[in-house]
Amino acid sequence: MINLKDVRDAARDMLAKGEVRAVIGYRRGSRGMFAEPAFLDRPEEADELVWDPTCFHNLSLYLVHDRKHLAHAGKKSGAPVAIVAKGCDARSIVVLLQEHYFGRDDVYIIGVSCEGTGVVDERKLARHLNGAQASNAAFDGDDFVFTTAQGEKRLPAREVMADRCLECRNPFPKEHNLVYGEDKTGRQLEAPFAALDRFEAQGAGERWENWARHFDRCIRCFACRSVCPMCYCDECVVDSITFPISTETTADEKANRIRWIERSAARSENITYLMTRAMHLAGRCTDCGECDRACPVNVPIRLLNTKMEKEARDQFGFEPGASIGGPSLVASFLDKDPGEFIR
Amino acid sequence: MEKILDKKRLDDWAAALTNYEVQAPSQEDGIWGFQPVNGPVRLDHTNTKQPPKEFAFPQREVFFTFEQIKGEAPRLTQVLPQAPRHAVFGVRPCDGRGVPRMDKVFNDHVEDTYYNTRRKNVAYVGLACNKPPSANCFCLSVGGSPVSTDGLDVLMTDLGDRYFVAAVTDAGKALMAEAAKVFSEPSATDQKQVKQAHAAAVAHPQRAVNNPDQAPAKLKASFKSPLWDELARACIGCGICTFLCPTCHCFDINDEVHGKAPLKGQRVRTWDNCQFPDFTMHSSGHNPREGTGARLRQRVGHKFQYFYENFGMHQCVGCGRCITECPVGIDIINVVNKVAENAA
Amino acid sequence: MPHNIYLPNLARVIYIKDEVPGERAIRTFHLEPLDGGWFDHECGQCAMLSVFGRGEALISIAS
Repeated sequence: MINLKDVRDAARDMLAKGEVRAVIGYRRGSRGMFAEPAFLDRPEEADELVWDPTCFHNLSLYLVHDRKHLAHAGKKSGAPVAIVAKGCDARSIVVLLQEHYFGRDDVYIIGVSCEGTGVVDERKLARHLNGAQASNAAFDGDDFVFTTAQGEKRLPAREVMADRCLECRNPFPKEHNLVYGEDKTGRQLEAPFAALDRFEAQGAGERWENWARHFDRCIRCFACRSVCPMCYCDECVVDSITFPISTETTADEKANRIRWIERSAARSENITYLMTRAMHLAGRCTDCGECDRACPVNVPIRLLNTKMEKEARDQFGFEPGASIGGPSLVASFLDKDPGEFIR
Repeated sequence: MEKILDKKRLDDWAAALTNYEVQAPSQEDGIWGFQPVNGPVRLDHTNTKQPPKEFAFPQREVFFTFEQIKGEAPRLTQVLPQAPRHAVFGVRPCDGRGVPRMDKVFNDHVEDTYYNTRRKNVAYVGLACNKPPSANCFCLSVGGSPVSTDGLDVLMTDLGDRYFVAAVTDAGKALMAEAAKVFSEPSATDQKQVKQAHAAAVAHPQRAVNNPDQAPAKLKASFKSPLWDELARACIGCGICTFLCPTCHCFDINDEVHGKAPLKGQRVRTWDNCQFPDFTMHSSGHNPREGTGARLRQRVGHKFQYFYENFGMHQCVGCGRCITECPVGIDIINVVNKVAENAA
Repeated sequence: MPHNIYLPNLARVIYIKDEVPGERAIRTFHLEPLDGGWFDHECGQCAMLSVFGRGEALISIAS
């Protein structure tokens, strides 16, 4: 069981000694019990840190933001940034390191093990609380305990956990500088890819009917892309809103830029957007589930990404984010790879 | 016009509206949304994920089609919306208050033909919030109320086994007149009960913006506050807060080309969004709202300062969607309170 | 039916004059309205000039 005081003390100490530029962690937000991302610059802020079942965000996104800010300002990084990372988050950081987005010395990973449980799924929780508002959430063995105006409400964690946590194979952040909590690797409550398998058990017609409905519902707010640490491209191939323009961009470049999809939130365009994104995440997505969580209209984006993950595992035995020195899916091959063309 | 509607007869009212496409909240894949009525109308929703703004301001609107043979002048064909008359049930009073705000935006200085063509065909049937449908409701802070009739054509109040139905506009009266038989006259008890229900609704505690009347001046004094960057530090720059807002109305216009010889296509309006990085991107590469802080300031400033300066009312109607749905906890109540507290 | 502000005024390019050559060329386009009328503007307004199937550019108005 993680003792929050230890995490706070470590953060305070690192900031006081100037060993890190900042600590990215979680703090209590202003809307009820939910945690929110916290950016600590000073040691006295360390007591803001929290660790509870609402710490669902994958904060490694903010390491990407930090690099972009540094590059934009033309600054060198100096001291590393410390970050609180769960198992899935730490695997995201490993992928970023594999891709040389930043160096190992630029980040100080404060690992937090999800131990016996995971984090909550806000939508599942809302159904269980049935309108009651909770002011606090806590881990307690196999349960989550919520404080509501009507008293304490204890729920079996598996009933309100995020799907990805139910299937999680590695709740322990293997890559870390410092780690808190026990290693309970292998504690998964559901088989890997259980949600995907359930979906794929349907016939093709039914699957298409479901996806068509989901694609039609997408409002192209781009939250899935914006919240994803792997979607760091300055220019996203599928839409116009991120086209980088500088004083050096010529009129011809602006005029001749290919518009792969239209801005209209229509089925054809939404499919192109979501499918292209899934393809670009193959072997990189560590199933942190942020896209799924952020989607305001419940498009099950995670199914697309876990489908790619499963293909990579079945075809090549590939596990994304397993080790920094390990191969990346699309930039490596093995003699025993199934495709003839590679040999 | 005030009537009583037995809950069992709600479907009869909806069925009698044969001159309208009746829309009501229904749940699909866990999402409450307005859908054409196809079966019983159940007004047991919290609030819809998306406000009813789509009926007058859809996410995609075709302005005109164009066709051009090389060397000749382009031929344009105006496309006016062919939307049916809509009767939209279950509109929450906050979203109702969004309607007159949108009316102002699309009719100030110039009239927006497309918005107005759709808008005049929509009747909004509101449902009072006997208790707040969301933990982040704050309508009382922005001059609204859970029983406000502003922007609605009819307001319904749930009295247990029946609704108290009050017409607000002539369009509302017409909607009720289509099914006069399903209604009965309210008794003195009904009148008393609806007053009690409304009083209880208004007394229900909500989250609050402190001193909202002072917000415009406080925000104006805080344009250069470092707090904007601080409060937007977690912002991921997605479009959730604005796309789900009942009063956000910014749009982009693009040509969608469907054929090359002859050149054929459509000029299309789609929702746009001040939180996207390219929203203010200049052709030169300069972006006056470079960071998330400047963009958060724009969104909050528009809701609580600029609109107030232009029209004498907050643009925010306190539905709380942007708070509930933000993936990283950015909370407009907290932002306004923090900035105002720290204003010079 | 009120005037539809989203319908553009059509114009024909009469001739193009090269003012400054090169990568960052400045050219003056001389336009002639096709449908007789010309647009009004208020001080500070700008205009969007578009060529169907090609793109658009925002221009400021001097008068």
